[in-house]
Amino acid sequence: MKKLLITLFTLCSLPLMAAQQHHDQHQHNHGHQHSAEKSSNAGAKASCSSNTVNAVVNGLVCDFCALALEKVFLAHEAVASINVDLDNAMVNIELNEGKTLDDNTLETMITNSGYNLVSTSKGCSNG
Amino acid sequence: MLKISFLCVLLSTILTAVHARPVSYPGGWTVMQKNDAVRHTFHMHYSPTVNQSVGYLFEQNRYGSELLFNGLQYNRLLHRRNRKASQGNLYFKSALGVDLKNGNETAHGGFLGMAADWEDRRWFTSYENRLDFGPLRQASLSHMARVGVAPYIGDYGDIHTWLMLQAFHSKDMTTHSAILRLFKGPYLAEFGITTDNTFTTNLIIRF
Repeated sequence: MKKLLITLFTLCSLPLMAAQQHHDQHQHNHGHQHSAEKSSNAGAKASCSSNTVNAVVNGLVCDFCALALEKVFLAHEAVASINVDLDNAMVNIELNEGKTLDDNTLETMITNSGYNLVSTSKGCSNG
Repeated sequence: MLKISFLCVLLSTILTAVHARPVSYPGGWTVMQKNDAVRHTFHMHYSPTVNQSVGYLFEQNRYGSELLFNGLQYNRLLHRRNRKASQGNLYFKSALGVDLKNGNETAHGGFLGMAADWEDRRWFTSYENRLDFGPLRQASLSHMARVGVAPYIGDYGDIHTWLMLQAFHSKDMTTHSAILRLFKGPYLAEFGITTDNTFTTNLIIRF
C-alpha cells in the first residue's frame, strides 16, 4: 500500500513538473507583463496613476494572504481597488479621487491583515 | 524512495508547519469540511481579529465507538513570523461541547491543542497535536504532521497545486496519507488516500 502511494504521488508530480516548465518558459517570455495580468484577473484591477500607493509586504505566500489584504483594504473608504502581486510581494492600491492614505494607516491595515509592511512608494511601479 | 518519503514526514514533524490556517482576516468567515481516516469534521468560524477565531464544530469518529461532538471551537494565533518569501505560525486550538456516544450517552467533551506551520510558495510543513478530554472519550494525545511541495508556482488567482504527505499518530492508530491539494482564490480542496485504504476529502472556503 505504501509503495502504491509513493508511485501515485510520483506519477501525479510528473505532468505538474512539465506544466511548471511550460509556466517558467512563459514567464521568461513575457516578464512582468504576465504577472500584472494574472494579478488583475484575481482581484480588483488597480490602474496605475499618481493616486496609486505601492507597498512591499512580507509574508505573502498564498491566495488566502492576498484575499485578506483585498478584504481589509476594500473596506476602507479611501481605497478604490487593490492588486496583489505574489511574485513580487507587492500590493498596489488605487485610491479614490481626492482621498489619501498615510503611511501609518497603511501599515496598520497591513498589520491588521496579518502581514508586515516593508516599504511604500507612490505612483506607477513596475513591481 | 520509501525511506526518503518517511524521512520527509519525520522532518516535517521536527520543523513543524500548516493544515489550514485556523484564523482568518478581521471580519472573515471560514467553512471547513474534512473527511479523513480519523473523523468527519465540519467547522465554521469567524475571526473578529487577525489573531483569533471562534466558531461551531461538529465531529464524528470514523473508528472505534460511535462518537458525535457538537460544540464551540476557539483558535488563537500566538505568533506569526512573516519573511519576504515565507510565513510561519504558531496556534493554540481548543473546543468544548457535548459528546454523544452510541446514540444514548451524553457528556461534556473537547480538546486542547497546538498547531504550527511554515510555508513558502514552494514548500510547506505543518505539525499539530491534540489532547482529547471528556468522560466519553479516551484522554489521549494525537499528532499530525505534513510536508508538501508545489510542483509549479502560480500567482494570485491561478490554480495552485500541492503534493503532500501526511502522518497521523494516536494511541489507537498510525496512518500515512498522500494528498493532492488544489487551491484557487478562496477555495481549497484536498483529495487523499491513506494506508488503511480510506479516502480523504477536505474542502475549505473563506469569505
